[in-house]
Amino acid sequence: MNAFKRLPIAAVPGLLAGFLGFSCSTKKVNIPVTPVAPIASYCPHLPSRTFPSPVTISGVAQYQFRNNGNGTVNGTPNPVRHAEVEVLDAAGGIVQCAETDGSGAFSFQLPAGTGDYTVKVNARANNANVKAYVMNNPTDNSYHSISTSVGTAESASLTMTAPATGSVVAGAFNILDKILDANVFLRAHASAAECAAFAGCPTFTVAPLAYVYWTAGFNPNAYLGGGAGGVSFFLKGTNELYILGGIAGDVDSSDCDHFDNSIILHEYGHFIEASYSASDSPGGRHAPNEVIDPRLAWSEGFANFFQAAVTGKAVYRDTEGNVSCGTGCTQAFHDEDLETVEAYDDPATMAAGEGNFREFAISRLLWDAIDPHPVSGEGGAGDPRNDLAFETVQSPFAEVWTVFTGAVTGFKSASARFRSSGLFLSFQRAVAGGQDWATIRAREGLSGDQRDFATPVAVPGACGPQTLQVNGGTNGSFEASNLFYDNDFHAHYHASGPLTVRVEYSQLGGTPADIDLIVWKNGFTYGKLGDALATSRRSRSTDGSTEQISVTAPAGWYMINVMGLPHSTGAGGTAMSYDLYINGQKACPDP
Amino acid sequence: MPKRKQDILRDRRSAAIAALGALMILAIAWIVAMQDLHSLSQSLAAPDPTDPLHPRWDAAKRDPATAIHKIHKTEGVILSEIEALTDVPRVTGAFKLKGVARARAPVSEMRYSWILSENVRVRAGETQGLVAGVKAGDRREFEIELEALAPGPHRVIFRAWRMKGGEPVGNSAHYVIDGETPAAQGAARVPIGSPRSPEDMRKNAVQ
Repeated sequence: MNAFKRLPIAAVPGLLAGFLGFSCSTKKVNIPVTPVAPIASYCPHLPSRTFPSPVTISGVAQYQFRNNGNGTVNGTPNPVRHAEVEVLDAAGGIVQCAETDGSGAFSFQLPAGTGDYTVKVNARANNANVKAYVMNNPTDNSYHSISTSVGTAESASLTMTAPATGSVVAGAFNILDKILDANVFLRAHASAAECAAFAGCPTFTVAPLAYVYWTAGFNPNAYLGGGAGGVSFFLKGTNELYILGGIAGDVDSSDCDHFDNSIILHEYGHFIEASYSASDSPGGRHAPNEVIDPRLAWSEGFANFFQAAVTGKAVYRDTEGNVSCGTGCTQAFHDEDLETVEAYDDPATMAAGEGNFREFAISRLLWDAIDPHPVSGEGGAGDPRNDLAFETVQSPFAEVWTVFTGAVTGFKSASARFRSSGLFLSFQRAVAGGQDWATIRAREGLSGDQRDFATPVAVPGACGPQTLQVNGGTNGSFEASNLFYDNDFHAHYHASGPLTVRVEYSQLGGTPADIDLIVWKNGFTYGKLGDALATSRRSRSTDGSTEQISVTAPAGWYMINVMGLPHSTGAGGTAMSYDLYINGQKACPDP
Repeated sequence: MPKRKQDILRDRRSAAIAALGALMILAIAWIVAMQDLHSLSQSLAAPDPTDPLHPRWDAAKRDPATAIHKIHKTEGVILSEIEALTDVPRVTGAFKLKGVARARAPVSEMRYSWILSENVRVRAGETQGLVAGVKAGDRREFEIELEALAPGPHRVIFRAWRMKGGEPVGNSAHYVIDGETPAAQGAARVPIGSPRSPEDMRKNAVQ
């Protein structure tokens, strides 16, 4: 790019002034920053106030629901459950508070004969049932609501309905309701009674307060500086979920997620993970048919499973709108069946251990572990979903919860690091009272330990060379490298001071390959070299040649990544072997 | 007759001043030419509705009263501008704008267009149209009512072109409405008031 073109026009006078040898002062313009509005306090008059001469206002709050994302409006509205009710006087002051019950009903008193009031049912709750605020954006922090006016001449009964068309504010209430569903599920399945069977199983009561940002027609991808593709996400390090409300103002034909219960619960699953478990996921994009970082695959796989557990349905449905097929066509959606393997992750063709790198293999494993037998509505003989050879496991959800959240035999324990399905299954095998998941592990190509990722190493150890496949199609870049086939990942604790890691290459087969060595810091993103402690990525393809790094490193956990790649693009060998040495001593896998 | 010493010195000073002046003129001409070439190349570039920030984003000048950035204005046959009819929201909400096209010469056919970025939708008004028989000095107004669905910056652009043989010729004008992000400082497209940068959001977003 021409450097001059990047020069703001405003800089030209200054440039000229400098050239001509005189100076002038530049007025600095302060652009006003929009202040972030504080989040309004929860209704202050709870329990509800009573009045000496009252009228009673009762009512029902409900919300409409659209099938398949933005399809037809369902005939029967759903109740707005356990949500906040505010009553405002003419000046906007809050004079009364209430909450809807489990059927959407509410009731409160107002002083008789004192004029009209505004009744607001809000898409937020902060009670023993659910804690979540569904708001418009992180600047306004304005919660969604429906409202109506009520007089006080006599007692009255109201029916308030959030519409699924027009303002589509029903979307906000559906999000709140699905979060309530998740809390109801966890209270039932991680109760004291359910947890009693597993030592170290934390009892669930109600999840911490979650902030959900959603606006009809708005794509939160804007916050990521992204393109037009619709996206929902959980923001790690916060309690914030961002749900896709449509694209470019379109709530009728574009992709939206406010009625996609799978997506809402998936993102809330990440929130539950952040609140009760721990994650080492580097985040980033993921797709069902891709081999991805096992830490990411675990986090996403759990979130997929969580939505199935809460809904009780063995399917992950993401609706996509119908914008691509025009007016009149039915709403499009994508289903991932949690009972049926796909061609790309069928263990019949997938190598053992590859499931650790595939999110839906993990989702199916967890679902198979807890799903009821037989599942209602599933087929008879021959239906793979009722293949009892794979349905021998019947673990309570509390067993999953114990590993997921446990500080003793679980992800919250001090020994947990580089959390992936391998580590989860290592813990699961050690849970007292836990079931044997060997059949479902094998079905999904999952190892019961960390042999495929973050493999612990014994130093000094005694072992022969380790083999590593080389993907002939890779060009040596991280993007093209297959994390499962082309890479080995060894977890190593370094007690500070000098650290020397060396790999010695040996050729397998008739064609030489190349070997690279990368030592990643804990928390790394694969391929992001800024996260590497050190690398040695020279061309090394003759027997006995080495890659070595020697650094002084602080104490901590590191990931030693041995990467195989073709010696020349497209012409590499298909396998190699190597020996690993740490500070001069042989290092051997010890999963 | 030999020149006197003072004459020689004066001649040399005059020559030096002239040379310096010529150099300055050349430099100014070069800078202006570069800017003009840049403007011209931007003006002639086909409008790209997917990248409304394209023209002269770095030259934005913001009117603090209306929160309208005037991005670019070409002194062609048609002069166009935006007027805010209601308060332009810094965050979300409805607002009305008026696009004004003034013809400095007769225009047999003129096209106007509103280009809206994501998260701004039309509540009332036409987003484009064709006007025939515009006389010199005519002022044509095109109102539109919009709604910002989310924090901005809301890139709302009004353009007017003279049409010739069915093709737009020359003139276009670009405006941006926002409330905060000073593009001239090289900031990214951060939604207004978003407490975090897109980089921070991207780093921590778990989809």
